[in-house]
Amino acid sequence: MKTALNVRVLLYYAFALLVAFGFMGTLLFALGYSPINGYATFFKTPFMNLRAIGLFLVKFTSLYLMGLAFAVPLQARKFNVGNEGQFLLGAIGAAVAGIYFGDLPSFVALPLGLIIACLLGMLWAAMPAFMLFLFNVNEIVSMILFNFISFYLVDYIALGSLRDVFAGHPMTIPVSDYARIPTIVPQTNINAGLVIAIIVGIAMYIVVSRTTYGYELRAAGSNPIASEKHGINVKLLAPLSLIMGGALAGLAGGIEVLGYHYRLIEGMHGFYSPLSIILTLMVKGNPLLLFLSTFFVTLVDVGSNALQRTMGVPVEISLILLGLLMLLIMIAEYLSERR
Amino acid sequence: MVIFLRIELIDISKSFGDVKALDHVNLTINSGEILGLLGENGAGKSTLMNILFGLYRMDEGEIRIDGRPVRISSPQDAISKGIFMVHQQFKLIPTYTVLDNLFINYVKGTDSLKPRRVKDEVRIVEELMKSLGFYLPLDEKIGNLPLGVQQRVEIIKAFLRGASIIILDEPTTNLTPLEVEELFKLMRDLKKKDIGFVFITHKLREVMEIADRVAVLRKGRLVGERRIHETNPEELVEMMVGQRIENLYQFELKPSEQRMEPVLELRDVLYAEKGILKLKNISIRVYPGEIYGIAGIAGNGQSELLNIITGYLKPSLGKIVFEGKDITNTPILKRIELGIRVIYEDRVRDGALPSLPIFDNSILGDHVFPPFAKGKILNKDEVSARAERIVRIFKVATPSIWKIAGRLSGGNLQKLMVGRALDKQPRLLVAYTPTRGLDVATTRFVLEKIVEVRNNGGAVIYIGEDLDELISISDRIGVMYKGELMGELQRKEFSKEVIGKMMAGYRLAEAMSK
Repeated sequence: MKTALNVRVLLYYAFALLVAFGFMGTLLFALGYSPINGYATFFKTPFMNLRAIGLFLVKFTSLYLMGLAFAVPLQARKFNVGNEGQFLLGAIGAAVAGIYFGDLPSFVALPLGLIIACLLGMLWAAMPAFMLFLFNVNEIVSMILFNFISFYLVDYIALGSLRDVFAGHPMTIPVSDYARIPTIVPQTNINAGLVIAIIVGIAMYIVVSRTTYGYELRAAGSNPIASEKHGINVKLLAPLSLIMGGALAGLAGGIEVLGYHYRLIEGMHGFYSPLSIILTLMVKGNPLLLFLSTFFVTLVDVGSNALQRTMGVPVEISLILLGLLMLLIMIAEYLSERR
Repeated sequence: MVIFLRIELIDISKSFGDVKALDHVNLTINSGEILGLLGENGAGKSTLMNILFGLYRMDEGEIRIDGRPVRISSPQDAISKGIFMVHQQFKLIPTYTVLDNLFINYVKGTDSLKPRRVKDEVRIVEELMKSLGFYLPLDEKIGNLPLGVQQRVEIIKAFLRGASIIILDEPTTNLTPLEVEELFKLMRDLKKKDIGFVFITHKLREVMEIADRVAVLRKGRLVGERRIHETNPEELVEMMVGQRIENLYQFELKPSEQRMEPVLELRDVLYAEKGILKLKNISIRVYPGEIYGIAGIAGNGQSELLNIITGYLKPSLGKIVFEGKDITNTPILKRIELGIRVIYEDRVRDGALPSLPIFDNSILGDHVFPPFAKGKILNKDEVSARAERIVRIFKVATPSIWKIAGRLSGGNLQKLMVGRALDKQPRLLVAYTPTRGLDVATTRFVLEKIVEVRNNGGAVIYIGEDLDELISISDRIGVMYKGELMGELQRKEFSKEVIGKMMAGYRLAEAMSK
């Protein structure tokens, strides 16, 4: 899984970024905003102070793990659009475990919460995966349907016996202090979840590019017939990769609950799933390059929110920017591959 | 119909970057004549014809039709001048019927808005079919038809459109021998109607059979032109390759040692798929140091036989024994570990990982075994070493082992596939037409490598469609017909005639007596 990175290719990508952000300035100008102020807000706000950086990194962590959850099955050409539901199931698992097992010592309660989050994410992916394995049901369709179920499951929990009755929005009561992921920079939201994400990301890179399992995933994704004729169990491999993706998305949900919100909140998945798909496709699922693309997508997301707050620019500008960036990257790829 | 007598290509030159693809080539093409255009891969045959067809622009030179200079800047230009080209990838619409495809764009300009006169169209084609003696299923969708028939549709389409010259780019690569015969018949019939053909190929035998005249290109230069009855295959090979290849089809088969245990034994193997019997009681023994050739027209059970030996298919009845052990239920990877290697017939579908680099492609099937894997971890150095070795020994033209396999040319990809199968001396090699689409020099090279496996004591099953090839390298030949083995011949009994009869369904004894 070596990516041919040479100067020319990098130049193409840099050019794509430049054009996309140039277009953003033009758009701001055309809409009657000052592009200079726009750029300043866009690029400065996320890193204004420690608190802002903290929020940036929380988002980065979730997006990265969600991207990874999409990237691993992508190696086998499976599209884990169910990472949204898997994320929510992970969040549910972490919240419930964090409340019920909250009186256990921290070194038990915290890992337990994260493990349950992973397991529930896996379970959520496993059902469509089994339907794919046994009946050849298209995993995209079934996973989208499972996403819907997960939204209502969140409602059910957040409005049920664990409901925080003092909150205006459906959410559970907070998890116990013992189940929370420790922050690594005081007075901020920067927590150990970021470290977990980085370790998991590097581990996934090794799994995908250096193990026989990863090799078989990539082979099956490239040519299922040839892979099968050379002894790779493609039929089993694809569902397995989805379940693995489920664990990663579940972990993302668990970390967001135990490291940031400290509770389950209705709607906490936001735009994570579509954004994660974009940022993964940008780098063709390479777990290391994913750090870069996640950084950019997080920047665009946080930056455009800042634009809306301070200048009243509609937040949809982030979607325009990302769509354009994706298109330009595809063009850059085409240009760099042409000889 | 556009009628003209001759096209002259004068001093044509064309470069791609630093590579001179064509270097002052002169060539004359006449209607009513079949011109064979011979050359190895990359000799410039297709480039020259793509220039004539308006797909490429030439750097220098001139094209004259009946003495008048013309400019051809697009395929539309070429077609309006009566020049058609049938590419290897057909330009037909798979979901339309044969009739639709024949008459798409038949009328030009505003007339194309008028309703089609289907009855007239059918009449035109039916008359043509009667006068030329061929058949097309007019109401069948193109996608459901075999490649040979699709090709015929392309040629008839060109004829209906008023072609004077039809260029065929390697037309026989994907055809069965029977389809090749039919193609040649159609070409001869159309020749009588004053159609000229340019037949691009590197298959000598076909040129000798069908062409009136032959031109040979090598590395972008015209090496020579001959009338077909004034030349012979040996001379043409020398012109193509640039050196004398002694005895193209002669190999040094070291005498086999005493018959030992067979490496592979199939005992009464029967295989049925969806109620259809594909293999009937096949019994074969293959010994070490032997090449067992399997002759037969494609589709008579050869693929199933290969897949049963590899373990991809399980026989419905019967036993497979490898070096004394029953492997009937042994999974694919285990068989690879035992030393069973395969070169598949369809290299792209069955062998390659097109979106991954040569690096990954070089260990498919070996990826779980040492030295490429230590436990579950891939050993990058060992994999690189193997990829480099294959590229070096099998002369895969590539800048590095990180080139994406799908971007290699067909010949280079095939060399990679052959190299992967042969990198480690196989105990048993099963090869299905491993030379398909390769040029003369590479074909010779691949066959030599396969003979080397035999001479080093390996057993080889060589499934072929080319009798010359089979006869030249096999120790024994078994002939398959409708899933059955019609009989086996020893090397001293080889005769094209007998094998040909067996391919048509006669048993050995019948074929010998007739």
